[in-house]
Amino acid sequence: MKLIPLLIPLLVGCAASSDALALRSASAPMPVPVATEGIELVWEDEDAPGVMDLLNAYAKATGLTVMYTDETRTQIQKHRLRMVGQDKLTVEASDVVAVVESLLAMHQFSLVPLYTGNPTIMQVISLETQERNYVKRSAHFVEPDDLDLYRERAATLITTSIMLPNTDVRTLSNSMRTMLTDANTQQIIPVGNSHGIILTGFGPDVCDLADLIRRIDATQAKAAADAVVEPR
Amino acid sequence: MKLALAIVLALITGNQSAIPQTSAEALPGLPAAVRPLSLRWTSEDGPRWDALMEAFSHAVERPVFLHPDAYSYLGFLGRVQPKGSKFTYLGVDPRLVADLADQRTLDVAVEEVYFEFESLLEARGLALVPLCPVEPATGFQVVSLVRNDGSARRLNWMAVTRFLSPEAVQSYRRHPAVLIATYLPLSKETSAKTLESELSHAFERGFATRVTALDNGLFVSGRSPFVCEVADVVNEVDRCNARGDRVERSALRGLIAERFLNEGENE
Repeated sequence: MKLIPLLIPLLVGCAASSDALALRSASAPMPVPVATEGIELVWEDEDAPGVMDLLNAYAKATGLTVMYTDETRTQIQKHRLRMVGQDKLTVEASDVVAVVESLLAMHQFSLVPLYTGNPTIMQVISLETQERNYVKRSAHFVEPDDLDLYRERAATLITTSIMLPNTDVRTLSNSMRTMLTDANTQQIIPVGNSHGIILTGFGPDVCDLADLIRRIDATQAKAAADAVVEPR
Repeated sequence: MKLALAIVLALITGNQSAIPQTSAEALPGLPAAVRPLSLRWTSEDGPRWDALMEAFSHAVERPVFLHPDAYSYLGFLGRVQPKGSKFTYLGVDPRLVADLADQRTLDVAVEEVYFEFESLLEARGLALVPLCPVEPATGFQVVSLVRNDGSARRLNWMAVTRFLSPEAVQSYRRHPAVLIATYLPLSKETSAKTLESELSHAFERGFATRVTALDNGLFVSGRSPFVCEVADVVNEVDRCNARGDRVERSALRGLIAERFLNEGENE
């Protein structure tokens, strides 16, 4: 087994690659891919497009360079997109990132920004290989206020911290830990003795968990306020 | 339950007028069906899964993707109703079965496309998931919650579950193959731990089905009808407790048994 992953370029993005990224801010340099054109995949009789076809279309639409290791390449070549009911998938430019990431997540792939300069390089990692053991390290920190940008990024690992001033975060995180099913990609950690909690996972999952714990905290705040105004 | 019963009876008798009419209004992530679901087959083994999914895809005008696990599982199953097997709709008395294989046709009104299709998925441990949170939904994926031997399949349930506010839950009641989750806050008179403990005995826990006490509230996830039923019980108990009519543990057990008896999850 190779200790150092051999990265194999799939497609080198064109000059538009730097334009295809909208950097959020200096404190959150997580690249947000933007597709400048839509994609179209065709199903012909028994010949279903594969994940490789999907990645080629994604690289072309976003201008990004997509790379992967030998291990992941085997998985990419193995997976076919099984679609019924239609013989063509047409995705508008505005939906490309969401749809492609959903299909990648469905086939157990994660998309990790490897280099955010020019050319911008995204690495595809198969969670069905040993690479899943270190994929969590590639999770990018996202400010809580920016979470909504990742609600449609099903293959992107992110981490964030949420403050819950009205909640015992240690007890809450212990209860919630049973809800996590994959230690390689998900975690919930209370931050020391503060009221903060760190969440790691795929974009939509972290957004949902953040919504959930904020709702719990708001319920606690309301209960505390009601208790204060209750007549003696 | 009565609605599902009426549908099964209608299927058996061919009496389409017995099918209750419901709104075809789209829910978030679930675009409205635009045409009836219509399927014909000549084989005495009944319709194939891919033909059924193709018919659904045409009815909602959206592509349906098969999760790799579901693709393998459906290949194993072969037919919607394997020959000789009985077919039971969610929540319906198991003595009442519809023999799809003998019907040779399946015609479902626009208003019932989701419920009918999802009932067929649910009966075999499958779930219907919007492809991604883009609105309107660009497509669906069908996910298998079980392995070929019927045991629960390990999966990232969050990726296939739609998180909803407690108010939005009831609108998904007639979507038996859609997985939802919600958080039900409780009054200080109700113990979330007690509810969690008693409810956990009432269903077979799987990766997508769970009732967890979080602070003073309950997090509930699973198939939509299950989550709706749990929400009904929890709200009823909490209302009683809040107004001083305390629901004792034995009464709670009776209430849960009444609601969930013979209605376990298929996971």
